[in-house]
Amino acid sequence: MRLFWKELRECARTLPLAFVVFALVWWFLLPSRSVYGGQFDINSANAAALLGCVYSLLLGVLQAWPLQRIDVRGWLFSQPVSRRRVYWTQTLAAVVVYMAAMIVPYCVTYWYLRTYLPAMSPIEPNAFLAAGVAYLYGFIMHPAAIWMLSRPAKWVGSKSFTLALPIGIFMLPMAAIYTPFTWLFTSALLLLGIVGTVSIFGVAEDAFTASANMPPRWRSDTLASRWLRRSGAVATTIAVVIAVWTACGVIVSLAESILRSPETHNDGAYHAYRFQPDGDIARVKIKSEYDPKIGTLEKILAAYELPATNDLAEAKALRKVADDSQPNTDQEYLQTLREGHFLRDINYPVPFRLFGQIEEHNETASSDGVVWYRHADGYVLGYVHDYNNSREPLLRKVMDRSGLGSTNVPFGRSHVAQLPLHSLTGFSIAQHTYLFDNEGVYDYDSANQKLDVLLEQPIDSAAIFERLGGHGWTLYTRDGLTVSLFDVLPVDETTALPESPTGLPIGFTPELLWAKTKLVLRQTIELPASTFEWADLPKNWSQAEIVDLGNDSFQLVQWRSRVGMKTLRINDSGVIADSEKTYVWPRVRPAPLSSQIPVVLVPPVLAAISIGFGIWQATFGSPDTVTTTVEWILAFTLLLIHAGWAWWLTRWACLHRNLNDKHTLTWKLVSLALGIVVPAIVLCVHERVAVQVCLECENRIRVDELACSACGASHAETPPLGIEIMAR
Amino acid sequence: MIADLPTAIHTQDLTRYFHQHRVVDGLNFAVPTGRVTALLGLNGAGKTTAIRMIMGLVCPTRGHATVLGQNSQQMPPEHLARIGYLVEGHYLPGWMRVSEIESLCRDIQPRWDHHRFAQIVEHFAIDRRQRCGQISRGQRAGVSLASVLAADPELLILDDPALGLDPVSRRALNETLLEFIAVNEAESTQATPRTVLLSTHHLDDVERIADDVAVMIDGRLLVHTDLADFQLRVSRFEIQFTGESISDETTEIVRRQVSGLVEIRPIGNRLQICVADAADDLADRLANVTGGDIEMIATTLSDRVIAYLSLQRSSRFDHPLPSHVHSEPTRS
Repeated sequence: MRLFWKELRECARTLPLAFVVFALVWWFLLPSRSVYGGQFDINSANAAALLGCVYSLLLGVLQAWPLQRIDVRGWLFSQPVSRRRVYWTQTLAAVVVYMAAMIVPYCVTYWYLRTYLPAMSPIEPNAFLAAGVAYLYGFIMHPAAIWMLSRPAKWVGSKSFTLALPIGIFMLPMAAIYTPFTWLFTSALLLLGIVGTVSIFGVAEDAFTASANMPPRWRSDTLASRWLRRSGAVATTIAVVIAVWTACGVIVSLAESILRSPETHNDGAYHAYRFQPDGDIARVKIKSEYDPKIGTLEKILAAYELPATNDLAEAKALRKVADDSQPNTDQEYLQTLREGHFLRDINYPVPFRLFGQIEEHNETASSDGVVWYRHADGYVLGYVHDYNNSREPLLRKVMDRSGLGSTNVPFGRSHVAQLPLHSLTGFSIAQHTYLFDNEGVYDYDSANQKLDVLLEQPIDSAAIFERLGGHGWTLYTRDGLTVSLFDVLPVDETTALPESPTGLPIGFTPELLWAKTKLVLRQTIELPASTFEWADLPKNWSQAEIVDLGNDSFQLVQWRSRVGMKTLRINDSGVIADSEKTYVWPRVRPAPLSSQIPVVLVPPVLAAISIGFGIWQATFGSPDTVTTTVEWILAFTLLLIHAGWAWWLTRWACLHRNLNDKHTLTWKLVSLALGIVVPAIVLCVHERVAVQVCLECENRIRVDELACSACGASHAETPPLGIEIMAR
Repeated sequence: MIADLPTAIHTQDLTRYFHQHRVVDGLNFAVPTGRVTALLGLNGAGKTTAIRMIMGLVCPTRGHATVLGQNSQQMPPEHLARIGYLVEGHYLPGWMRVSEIESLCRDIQPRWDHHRFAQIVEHFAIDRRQRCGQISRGQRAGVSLASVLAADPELLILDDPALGLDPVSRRALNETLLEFIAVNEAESTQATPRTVLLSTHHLDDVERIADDVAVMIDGRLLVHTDLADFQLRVSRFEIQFTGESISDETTEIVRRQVSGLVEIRPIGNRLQICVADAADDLADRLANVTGGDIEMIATTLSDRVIAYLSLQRSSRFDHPLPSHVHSEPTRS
């Protein structure tokens, strides 16, 4: 127990610095958690991984570095305590300090920030799962540091090289988490990572207990340490299982490709919805292909027309016929498609296009509704919507802004899509609805299925209010710095506009649901140029609000998430009475975490993995993925030459290090997989040992061998000098 | 004689290379149980490396060492508890207080003697509340010695315990050691008597404390016997010549004629030689060959040891790696 306290106190000397650093990191990260939960997960995981690696490495170095001095080592190792116990005591002490460095600053920072961050949500275990796992995994650098410092080697050689292995092992689960591989590959990476982690602890313990500045221990039958052998057996078993699994998959896929007909063969195609050139929509069967000159292309295999009927039941029935499988209409998938290169399909003459932004969705009592889509050329399309199959269009209705109703005829192509179509008021099939986009404001008469243009002018944003300042129903529009206020008046002047009923919650707004209205320009206000500018902040405001202040003024509030808000109070004369800047939270700019070690190190590791996977696929993949070209043959030839070269260099390196036949063969086999880096590894890992020439057979033998391995002759002892005085 | 005694430490062909340099060369060494053996040698002779191999802190390149019947590379904690090892330089964690050192040792040593620790600490006038990094070197040596002796070891290995100590501290250390040995002889409850292996440069300490002496030169053990035997078998002669100086030819004749020649020193018209296991008729033969007057002179233990130690610095005893040993080619 005293030994534990000694180690704990030595580790705890780093805690003040760790507390400060960790608290600063949480200080930057925690505010974002109240707004962007998902983003917090990623940022905190990255930060935890980086901090964990650095801090555990520091702890390991602080514990093992003093033992580089042999008097320190002699004092510690001459005590009647096993070196294994010393190692695990050090590890346990480091774990305690390591966890304290994580938890204490978090709790303190959380408690402090909570005093003025009312938006902070309570601790959610899920939010910290990724960070916790990453942080725990970062402790792998502690045994790595001890292993590195316990190894009898030179810093420029295998001592520094030792650190590469734990980093690689650390990267395995990180790569599995951050990259979208198949589940089999991900599982393999995670398993190998776990095995590697356990191995590192074992190897570090072994190196620590044997830290006696000794020659290489693999000179006899101990090829590697006991733990390494165990973990190697586990890893080999996993590799064999994966290899068998993969081989079975290859065999099955080959059999399928031979036995099954092309129609039933799953060729990787998928279904989606695309616009046709005339603005109509179709369900298409697509297969993505890669063109080295252009990128990913969509090859349209088949197209299905959607049912043109107003009968929802009929539409549902027809859709079942048209559908082979459910198309992936998930929002994330749509986003991916938008950012893709599918619009550059050159293999198909008809340029199908992607769905536009989904603008508004309102359910009705029958669970059916309307979804507004916007075409890139300006078409505005309305679809009857099946609520139970979100965003699955069943019927199509084409609306235009000419006031002619549903014509199925697209209107002018001059429309430039910038602002999505928005609804200004509540939306229902049986009501009048105010809509706007960046070209104007429209009245959608859902009863007659007509779209009337109320106002044509450029619009950046718009809103409608029952009351604004000292006026009644008001339409607010803004184009750049120009704000226009319109009175909303009934076309039939004898009819009064509705008012908010009394006794209802504040903020309730009645809907314009009864008759047609008209807009009369009341006032135009020029905002100052600095309205949307803050010198020290980006300009991309995320939200804007209009707040009615009562009889004589209203507020224009622009606010940006996580930063603050800017408020302009505008009176009825259109004069800006005052302005105010408010920071929601302390003005602490979030630290950029993009340049983290995992981000830097993952790409080369993944590149190596992908190259290996590519070689594997090119060699063992299904026949239709292999294209035998001159380039491929040349590459394969170079691969063989490279392997031969690596084999020969490895043989030379093993001879130089005087390794025995078993280890030489092992390294040669490794060189076939890893290439010419292996000779360098051999020279780094194996220490240069003094050799002597056997007097009998003149073979070179290591000085730590008692007899010549070739002829069995014993070493000649140093001849006596004749002056020895030994006890008789 | 020590060759017949049971041994606490036994080494067989103990050899250690540091890279291409052979630091300990085929050490065959046996420390008898119950005796104090002084291991002597110049700096770099290989004493500390040999002790570290004996303690399992350095792995031998070749050969092995046995300590209290156990291979030195595989000593379990209960075996280490029987060995007291005082490291060279008296390292102690500087941030720990003397009392904390005692607490730590008491926690891990099975036969901890608190009174002995307190007695030695008081002998060195050490305040237990002080941190080890703040006390003097002599006091640190006292704490180290106290922590080693209070563990009641069967085998005590002291690696240059007087290194860097002032005379007062050195005397205190010697007194403590002598007291421990005396207590050992008088009151020991151990089944086997205590053994001490002492590496030192102080020959007068050796005369006061040691029973046996071992001398290492350039990694090789040249002397290992008890003190009386050593003094008996190493002789020093002086040859008086008539001329004013001695020619190199005469010196070379002596070199060739005398077997076991350890040292030869021309001083004016006299030639002093130190011989190991001198033949009975050596004086007569030297007189016949050189024509000088031969006289055997009385010398101290220090003179004899120094004669051996001077071998390492003289050109006469120059034995680099034997010709059949090669090094790996050095890369730039």
